[in-house]
Amino acid sequence: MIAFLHPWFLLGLAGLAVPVVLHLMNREIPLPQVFPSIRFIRKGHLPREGHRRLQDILLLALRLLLLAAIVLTLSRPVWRPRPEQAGGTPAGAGVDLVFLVDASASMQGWDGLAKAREAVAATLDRYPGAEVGLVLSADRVLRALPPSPDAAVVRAAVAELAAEPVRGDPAPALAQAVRLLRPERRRVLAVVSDFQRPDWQTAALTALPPGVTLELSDVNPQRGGNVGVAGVSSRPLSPGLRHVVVEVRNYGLDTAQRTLEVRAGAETQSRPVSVEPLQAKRVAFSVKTQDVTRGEAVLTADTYPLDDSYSVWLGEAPPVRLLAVVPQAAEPDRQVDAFFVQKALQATTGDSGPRFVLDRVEAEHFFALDLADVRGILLLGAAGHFGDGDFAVVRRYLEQGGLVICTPGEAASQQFRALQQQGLLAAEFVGTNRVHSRVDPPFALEWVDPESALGRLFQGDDRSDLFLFPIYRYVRVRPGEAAHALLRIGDHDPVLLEQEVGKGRLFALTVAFDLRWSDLPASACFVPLLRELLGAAEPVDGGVRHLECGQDLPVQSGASPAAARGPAATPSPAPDTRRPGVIVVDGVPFEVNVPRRESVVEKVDLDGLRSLLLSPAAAATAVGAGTGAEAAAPRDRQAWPACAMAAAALLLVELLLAGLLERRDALPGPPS
Amino acid sequence: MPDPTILELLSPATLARIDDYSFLARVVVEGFLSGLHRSLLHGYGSEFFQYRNYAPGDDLKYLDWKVFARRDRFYSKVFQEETSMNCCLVLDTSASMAYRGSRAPCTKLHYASMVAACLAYLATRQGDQVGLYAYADDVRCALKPGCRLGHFQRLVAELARLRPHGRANHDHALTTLAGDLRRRGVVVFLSDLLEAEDAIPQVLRRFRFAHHECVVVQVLDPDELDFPFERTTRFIDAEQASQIVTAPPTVRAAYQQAMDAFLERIRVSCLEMTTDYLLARSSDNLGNTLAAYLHRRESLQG
Repeated sequence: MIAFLHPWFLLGLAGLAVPVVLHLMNREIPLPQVFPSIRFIRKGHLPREGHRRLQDILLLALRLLLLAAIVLTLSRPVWRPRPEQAGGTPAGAGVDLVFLVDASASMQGWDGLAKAREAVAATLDRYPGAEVGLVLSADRVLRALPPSPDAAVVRAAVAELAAEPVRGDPAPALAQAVRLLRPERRRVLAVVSDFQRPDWQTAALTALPPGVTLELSDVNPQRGGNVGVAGVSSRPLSPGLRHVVVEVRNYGLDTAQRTLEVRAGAETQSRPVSVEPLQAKRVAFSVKTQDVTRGEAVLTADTYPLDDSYSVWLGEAPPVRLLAVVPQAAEPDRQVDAFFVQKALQATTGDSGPRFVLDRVEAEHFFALDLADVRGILLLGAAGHFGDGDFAVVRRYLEQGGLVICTPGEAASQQFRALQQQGLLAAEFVGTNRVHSRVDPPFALEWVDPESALGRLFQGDDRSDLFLFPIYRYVRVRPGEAAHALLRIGDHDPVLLEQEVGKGRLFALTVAFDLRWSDLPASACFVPLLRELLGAAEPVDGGVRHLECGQDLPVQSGASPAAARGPAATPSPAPDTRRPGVIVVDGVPFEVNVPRRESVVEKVDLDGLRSLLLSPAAAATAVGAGTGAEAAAPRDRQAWPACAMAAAALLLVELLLAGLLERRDALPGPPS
Repeated sequence: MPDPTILELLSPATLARIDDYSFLARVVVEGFLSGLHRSLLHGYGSEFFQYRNYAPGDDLKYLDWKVFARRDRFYSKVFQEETSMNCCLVLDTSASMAYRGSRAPCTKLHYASMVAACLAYLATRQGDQVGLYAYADDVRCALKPGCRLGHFQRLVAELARLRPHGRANHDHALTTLAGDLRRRGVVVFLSDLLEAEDAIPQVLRRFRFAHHECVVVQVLDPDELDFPFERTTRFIDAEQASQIVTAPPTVRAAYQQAMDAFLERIRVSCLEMTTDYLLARSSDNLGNTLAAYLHRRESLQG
């Protein structure tokens, strides 16, 4: 049967009335002629002009056909296969029929699966005798059955169809389905899906090969609204109590009334929630999480249930991984610096601040490390022994938002010169100040930037802790404009500099965490100072990772710091991320949930999708690839080129005939 | 007969390009008459003037047989006009005279004017007095017959000023004209005579009663005679407000029949009034028209 890609052009057929009206109006107009006397002229019967009328009718018919051909060309007719051929030959004879069935998460909603089974059955009925194949698609090809005469295999597979709680990506399945279609046979690709817009609009689709008939079956063209849990965040309020915030989003066009529950162990709290169309609302809960690490936020179920629940981690936030780099071979004393840092990090402050885990590595091994899970790097005298490659790693780490704290070592001059040359710290090394004898008074901090976080931290009496510890040795640097001094000795000698590099920050101290340099590691301000500096390393969401169902876990490098913490564990099977839940890998919790883009109600435009998949080449080269069937079975091919050629031929004939008639009319009448 | 070159000169297509009627008439008449026998110049009612030697081709009726008997030589008599003749040219300038068909080089009025100019020149050359009367619904021009110096130029100037318009009222105009013509002479009617078949016999009778010689020259366009139109046409009467839409091929036969009857009636009317009748097509060679007129003149003399 014939279909039209732009059917609204057919309204132009109404214009066929115009030439008819003009023809009727264009009767022969009498030629006016002034004559000396009309007394001898009789009013005879006006001739029927049968011969001329016939020519006029022929011209009219040509013009009507021409107009119709133009309108049809513009409406882009497409010839689609009929279910039956003339003569009773089964429509499916010589046909490869491959189904591409969508099994992504959204198909579980709005009765998608049941309707998909119905659509497959109906299509099979229209192609009796065809060899049938199947490709099940979600985020990848779930199953592929090549065409076979036994359609029962496909029917059984479809009967067992279950939606995967993953996003949809039809591109690999389309490519697989095309590979299953055999070129020597007539090829029909039947796509059964809900054609959800995020899945189909973002997929890297390519045009089908020429000669492939495409059938698109939308399982639920009209589907109602949807409300789901878009996300959950939690943070500790106090030991055993967490603040849980649930975001509920309404994807539909009507106001939704639901009941929201947060379940944590034996405790369940519920709240009614009302969400306006296309809006989101946050609902807060205070949940007791004693001995509970996993929870769930659940909405009243609706037509799409997979987004009505959300798995959330309610346990402790994973520790923040820090890396201490020490020049073990060159400066063994720098181990003392790492020791003090370790002790400071282990100190509990009684608040709910993050936990830090400090890994150590020698400077000479720094370049080979995977820093993906490292939130902060402490270069404890190591920067003076770095090469260009090491600084490149530091730069890349900083530019991606990392935090680096560096303290001087014995190679302080090399360190600060290298930092300046690498563009990481705008500070010029001047020299080193030290107390040469016991009678000389030690140095001390005299100024903290009152506008900085440190200035706000050390206020009032707390500032005395900061200003009273003696400093015996420090490096003198002259900071540039990019480096901002946070602590100073006197008016000109900074002790702590801060500089932004890319998205990250570099803190440079001119005093080592060594008691031979100062009493800072033993002072009461060391822990809060260090924690304040490391505060930027704390992840926003507390270190909890979020994954979609079907998404792979981040790859862990074999040389990661995690491998150095203890004896290597025996490899365990990869956790299953194709189901929602919370999994913990190496102490890092992963919240795995159904992709929320499957919650969107909107669909992709099927006409546009069909145009994208059916290339012009598919219509122009529809070669009979069948097994020699006498009656050319109809194919889904473009018919507008034929209409355009017909219009051109009609125009040529019309011009010739009209010109011929005009010339003949212009010839003078026979002389008397 | 004039030679072919003269005939070409006298073709209406050539003459229609001459705007000056005076020059035109001189060209036509001198060119036309150059090949004619001088005996045609002889006027009506002439008296004996002199003898001359007989030339081969002279009319034998002018031979003086008595002189031949005495001298045994042939002599022809030469006569002179007893009195000069009045020649009145009466020209129809109604709107119907403005028609020009596709085969005619000029309008009927232009053709009639050329004929009138030629006749006026001929008469002036002969010493006759010639006048011009033009009419349509009323008399438009009344130039009384004369032969003084410059009269011919005045006549042709009046011819050049004539424009066809209005409806022909033959009876009124010609009746008025008849009252002005005191002296007997030749009255030449130049008209298409449409709508005049009833008036013409009365007019001719009046002129004949006054002892005028009448010549009727009916000027028609070939289209009026053949009705050659093919397409459906709305014919609009030139003088009246009437119109008619018809398919000419279907009514051509009836038209020609009616036209023939009309022409026959005119001819019979003229014949009954002992009036010369000439039918001139506006596409005819002007020399032929003049020859016909002069032949008529000769027959009148006989």
